[in-house]
Amino acid sequence: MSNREVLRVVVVRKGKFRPAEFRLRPGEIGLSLYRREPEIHPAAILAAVHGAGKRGELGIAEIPISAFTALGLKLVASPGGTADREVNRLLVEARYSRWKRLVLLLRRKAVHEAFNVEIAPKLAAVAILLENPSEP
Amino acid sequence: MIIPTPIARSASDAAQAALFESAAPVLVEVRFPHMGTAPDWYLCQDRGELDSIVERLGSGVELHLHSVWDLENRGRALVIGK
Repeated sequence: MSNREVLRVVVVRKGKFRPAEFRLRPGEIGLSLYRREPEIHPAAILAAVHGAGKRGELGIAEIPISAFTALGLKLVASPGGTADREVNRLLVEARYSRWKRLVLLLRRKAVHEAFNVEIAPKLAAVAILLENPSEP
Repeated sequence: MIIPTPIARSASDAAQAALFESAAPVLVEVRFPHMGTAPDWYLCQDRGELDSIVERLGSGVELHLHSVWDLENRGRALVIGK
């Protein structure tokens, strides 16, 4: 993966986003994110997610890919779910390695629970809110 | 659980009606699978409020409905797909 950052659509309140924006829900095994590519502006990602029905004042949080490597996570290409095919092409999921998921299974610990305790706060701490992402 | 067939949709409608009838208000989690964003949350007093939420959602979105009186038991959430 050649890009240096990935993006997550977050709800902005008083100029900030909440750490909960990086948590997994029960049943999920990876945090979905968008690769940053120069030919697709973040405004297109915002529009695609807003078009799916996401509400609130939306912003884009940017996370360096190095943070995922440091946390032992893999970024895996995954089909996007919006109505915009070009935006969907950018989707990746941050996942634990298969080995780590096996260890969690043997310990009878849900992936989302481990992720929310171990990973989500650290991603929230390094994520930066982009300024004016809706302006091309 | 995503409910695609006409018979299953009517079953889903019946389940939604029963949930609001017996256990309102209902906490609605709107998930956006594979869309790079966290869920939205709503508290609905009746099906009319739920319908107004569903109307403006795109395809691929999942709704997880929980009675506020039974939040501990996640397995009993009613899941509907759009």
